[in-house]
Amino acid sequence: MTAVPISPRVQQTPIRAAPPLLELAHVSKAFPARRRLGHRRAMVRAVDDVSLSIGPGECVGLIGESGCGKSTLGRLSLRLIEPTSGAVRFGGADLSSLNPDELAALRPRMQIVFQDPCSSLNPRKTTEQIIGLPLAVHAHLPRTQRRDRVIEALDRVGLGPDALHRYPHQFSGGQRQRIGIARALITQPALVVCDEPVSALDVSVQAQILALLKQLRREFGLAYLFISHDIAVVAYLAERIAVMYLGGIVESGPARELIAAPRHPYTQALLAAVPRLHAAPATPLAGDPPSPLAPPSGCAFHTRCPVAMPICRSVRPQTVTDATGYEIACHLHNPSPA
Amino acid sequence: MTPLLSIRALRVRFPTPAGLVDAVNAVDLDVFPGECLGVVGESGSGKSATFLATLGLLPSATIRTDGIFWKGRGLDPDALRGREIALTLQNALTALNPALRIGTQIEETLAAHDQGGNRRDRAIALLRRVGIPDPARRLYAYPHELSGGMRQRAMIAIALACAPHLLIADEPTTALDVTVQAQVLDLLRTLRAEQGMSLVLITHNLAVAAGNCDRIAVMYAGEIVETGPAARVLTTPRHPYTTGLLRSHPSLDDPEAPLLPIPGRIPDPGAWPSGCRFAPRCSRHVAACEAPQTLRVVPDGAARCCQAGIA
Repeated sequence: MTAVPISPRVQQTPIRAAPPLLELAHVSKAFPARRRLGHRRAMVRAVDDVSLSIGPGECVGLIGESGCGKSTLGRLSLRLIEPTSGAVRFGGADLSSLNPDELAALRPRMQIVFQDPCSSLNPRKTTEQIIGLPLAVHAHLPRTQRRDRVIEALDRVGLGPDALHRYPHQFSGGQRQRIGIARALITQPALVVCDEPVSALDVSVQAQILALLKQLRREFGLAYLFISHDIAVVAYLAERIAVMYLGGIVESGPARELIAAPRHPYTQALLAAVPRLHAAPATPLAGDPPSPLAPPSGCAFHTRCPVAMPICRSVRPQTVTDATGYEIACHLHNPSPA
Repeated sequence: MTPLLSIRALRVRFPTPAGLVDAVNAVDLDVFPGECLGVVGESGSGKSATFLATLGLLPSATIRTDGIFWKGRGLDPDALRGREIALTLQNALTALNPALRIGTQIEETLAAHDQGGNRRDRAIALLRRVGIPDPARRLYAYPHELSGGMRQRAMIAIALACAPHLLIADEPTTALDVTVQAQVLDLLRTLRAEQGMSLVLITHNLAVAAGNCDRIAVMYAGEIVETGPAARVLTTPRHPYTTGLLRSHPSLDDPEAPLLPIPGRIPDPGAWPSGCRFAPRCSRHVAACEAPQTLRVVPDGAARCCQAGIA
C-alpha cells in the first residue's frame, strides 16, 4: 500500500522531538463480568494491548462507538483504575510504581473533564467549593487566596463572580460544563482527559464549549486526551486521532490525514456513516458491534468488515507503524502477516 | 396538492407551579403525501411537544389551535393514532414494555386495530421488514435482550403494523452509535420509498435532516423560525438562528474551520423575550426586533425574521 518500509511497532517506535507527556505501553484492562448461574465468571477485556503516547501540548483524539473501551482507556491514563497489565507513564514516571504520596504530588498535573456535568458536580456544594477543592487538597491555600483563584478560573471559562455562591442545579448544562472545566484547570495541569465533554450538550452550546477548550489549550499549552464518539468534534480539536474498536486501537495518525484518507476498513465505515450537511448518505455498515464478552477471533472487526479475508478470521493483525508514525492494525496493510 | 396533515396556529402550554408555561406558539405546519419533513431544533424548542399535542398525547397541557386537519378534514387523533398516523419515540428501552416479549407487543397493536389474518405471521413479516435477523426467534425476545439499534427497529415494526400513511419519528437515532444510526436512517429511507409513506423526522441534528428530508422546519424557543426545501435551508438560510446552527456544526469536510457559536443561551420556557425570541442572541439585532415577528414568505420558504427579505 505504501512505499515506505514498514516494521512491527515492537521493533521500532517513531522518533519524537520531545519525550511524551503521557505514554501507555501495551496496556490492558479486564473487568469481571456479572456472574451468571452455572457459568464460570467471564472476564471482559475492555482495553486490550493498547499503546498510545501524547506529547506536551498535544491534542490526541480517541474515537470509537459505545463499549469500545475509550473511557476505560481515559481512566487508565490517569490511574483512576489500575491496568491489568502494561505500563502507564506520566512525564517519565511509571504511575503504577508510585507510592500514594508521589502519586498525589502528580495529580494536579493531570485532570479530567467528565461527560455529564450534572452527576460529576456535587449538588450540595457551591461553585466556589467545587472549583476551590483541588486547591485546598493540592496547594493547601488559605480560603481568601482560594477565592481569588476561583474567580480567576471562572473568568477564564466565561462565568462571572456571581456564580461563586450558586449550586450546580442553578446552572444550565453548558454552564455546568464550564464549571467542570474550571475545576480541571485550577491546578494548572499539563494534561486534561476530556471524556465526552460535549456529548450531553445542544449543538449551539457544544460549539461554545469546543471553542473554549480550543482557546484554553492555546493559552496554557495544555495536552488533551479528547475522547468522543463524534468524529467531527474530535477532528475539530485533535492533531492526532486514534480509532478504537472492541478494546484495541485499529488505526492512529495525524488527524487531517486520517480524516481525509482513512486506511482501516472500520475507520472508513465510521467516517462514511457520519451524516453530512452537503452530501448524500452512504450505504451503511451491516451488523452490530460484537459483545466484548465474546470478541471474535482473529481481527475483532472481521465479522462486519466488507473486505475481510480468510486470514482475518484466524490471525489477529499486528500494529504496524510507518516512518511517519502512522499506525494501523489490518491485514490489508500488513505486507508480511504473522 | 392537499396536505396529509395540516396544523394551524398551534399553541401548547404546560401547567407548572408557576402557572401556564408556553412550550409551543403559533405553529403552522403542513406535511404532504410522500414527503419527509425534518423538524430541527435544540432541546426545549417545542419540536416534540408540537407532534405529541397533535396526536392528543399531552392530556395535561392546554392546547389551542385554529385547526388540525388530516387529508383536509378535522383530525380525530384517537381514531387515527396507530392506524393512519404512527409514532416512534427516542428511547426505545423506555417506550417498549420491558415485561412483554417483542412479538406480544406487535400482536397487541395488530389486535387493537382489528387487523385480520394470522397475527403471529404478520408480526414475523414486520420484524423481517425492519431488518431484524431471525425474526421468528426474536418474537420471543424481551426488549432488554436486543441491542439499541434492534430495539429501535422493533419499535418501527410496531409503528408499521397498520401500514400508516404518516410516521412521526421522534429522534429515532439520538441514542444510537453512528454506524447503527446510519442503518436506522437507511431503513427509514427504504420504507418510505417502498410504501410511499410520509415521514416527519424530529431531530436536533441538522446533518441527519440534511441527508433524509425534502423540507426542513427549524424551531427555536417554541416557534418555527424557518421552513423551506432542505437544500435551500442548508445552503442559504434566511434566519440568523439557522445560520448560527450551521456555523456551530463541526464539519468533517473542513475539520479545522473555526466554529462560530451563537452567543448566550436559549431562554427558559416562560421567560421568552417579548419581541423576536432570538433577538437577544442575534448579531443582526435592529430596533424592529423588539416587536413580535411573524413568519414571512421568502423565496423558497418562510422565515420569522424582520430582515428575512433583505438577506
